[in-house]
Amino acid sequence: MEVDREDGRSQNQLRPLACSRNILHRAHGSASWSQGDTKVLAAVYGPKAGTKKNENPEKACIEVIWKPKTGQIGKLEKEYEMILKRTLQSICILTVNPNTTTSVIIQVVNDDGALLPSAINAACMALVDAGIPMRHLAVSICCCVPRSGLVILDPTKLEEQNMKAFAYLVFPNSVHSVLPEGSLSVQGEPIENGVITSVTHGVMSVDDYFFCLERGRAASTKLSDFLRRNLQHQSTDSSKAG
Amino acid sequence: MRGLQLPLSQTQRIRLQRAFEKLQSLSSKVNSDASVTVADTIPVNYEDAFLKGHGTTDLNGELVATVCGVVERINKLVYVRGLRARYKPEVGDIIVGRVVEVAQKRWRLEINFTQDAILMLSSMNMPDGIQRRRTALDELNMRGIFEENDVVCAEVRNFQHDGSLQLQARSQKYGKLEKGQLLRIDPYLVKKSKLHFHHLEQFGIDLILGRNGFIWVGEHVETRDSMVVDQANSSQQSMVLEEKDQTHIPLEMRQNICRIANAVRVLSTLGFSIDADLIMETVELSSSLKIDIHDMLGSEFHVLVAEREAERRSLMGKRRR
Repeated sequence: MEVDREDGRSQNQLRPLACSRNILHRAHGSASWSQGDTKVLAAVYGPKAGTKKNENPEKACIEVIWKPKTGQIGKLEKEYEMILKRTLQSICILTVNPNTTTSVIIQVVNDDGALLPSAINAACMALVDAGIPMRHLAVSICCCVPRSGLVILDPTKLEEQNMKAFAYLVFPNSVHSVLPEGSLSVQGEPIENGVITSVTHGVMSVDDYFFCLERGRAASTKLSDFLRRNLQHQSTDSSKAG
Repeated sequence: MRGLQLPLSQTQRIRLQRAFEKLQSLSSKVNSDASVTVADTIPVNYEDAFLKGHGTTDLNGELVATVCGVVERINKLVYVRGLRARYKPEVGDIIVGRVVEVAQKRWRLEINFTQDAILMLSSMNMPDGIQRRRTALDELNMRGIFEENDVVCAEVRNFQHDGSLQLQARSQKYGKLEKGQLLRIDPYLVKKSKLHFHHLEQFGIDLILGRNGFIWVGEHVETRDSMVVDQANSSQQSMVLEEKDQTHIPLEMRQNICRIANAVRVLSTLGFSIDADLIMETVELSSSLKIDIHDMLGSEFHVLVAEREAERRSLMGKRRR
């Protein structure tokens, strides 16, 4: 069943992606991520010495600051900060630099739907740019359930407002083994099947949710290919320096 | 091709691309598919004993990369070297920094690192050269030695407990740098070598390659040995110093400084490692082709330098075989 979307995309089609790294000179790592019209800028400073008062000093601490495009910082921004912090804590290896703080600052340049997934992707690329060791990359996608019809991916702001429910899902990127055969598996299941973070809004049935997960996972392989190409390109460029 | 911020015409673009492809083909023969991204498994022979180095981790019995970079193997150590990383200081590195603050008994220098480096008053030679204990008067006269925004050359002494650097400038070749230009490039382009101070005799110019990515190009300064104490000469020397402060740099010297500085800028934009011989070759290329100093930063010269470098590396490769 074809779903009519305003910009003519099919239900599983993502908006055009663009990503650039190392755009801020003073930050230790920076990245800009845009999906269609949504654009987010992320900067990483760290690791710096010392942790906050209530944090565990045997692990590294990640601090997230979310700057909205306009307006004051309110509860929604604090919620985004907390979600981002938990997601990044699960992908970074925290025992490498104990008793340090890494600050991640997210600046929303334009919001046109799927803001939190773009921010997670931007933050992940900025961490890679800063050279912070991570277990895997986080690939994040937004799936939503409209009032009538099938699940669609990557909504714009108008589409988001007309939805019954939507879910932001974060998956680990697909592991590419340099050896041709075999892939990592955790307890019999390939590692790509894990979910790092899932944030849902609205009312949806359990079947719809599993459907969202499936679709999201399929799209996340496309996203992680894009990330891999982007990073590979940068690494072959720099190896020229000899 | 990385995003060069240069307006290139169509032919220049093609020439540049060809030169880069040639360079890549030459370099990739040395280490093929050794670049990894996060969560890639590193091909290792698991029967041999090996040490896991930086940037790797053990995930379910497999060796996985945690940063994006190139896999390096030294004897039994396997590690991932991050590309375009921040400056990683080592003890004994020569660095160039700018004073940002004059604090109690120390100067704070900005050196393109996570934190500012500290140069203690006691790690600095006194202007009169006598080895003595620093008194409160010395502390009050710190500004006479270095002020804010002065450029200083020093050596890394050790790391402090919070990860910041402590520097020392005890020898005569370190200290305040005057009459020249400071350039900022990426730190990974300056490789560790035996010699970081270069004296280009034909131009009479000092070239200091700081490992933190700060390059100093300036007029040559005669380094006096402070150990030799000669009463008769010291009064003459102090007079010479005063005269030196008042003379201004001749035009030809300034042009040479600018030419060398532009050569460094071109090399860093193209992403080649900075090396005194390479800089000299680039400068000679520009003067032999009679390129104006302003034009050195133009697209045509960039393309020429890239082609020249591709040729040079292919010649080197052929000679090795």
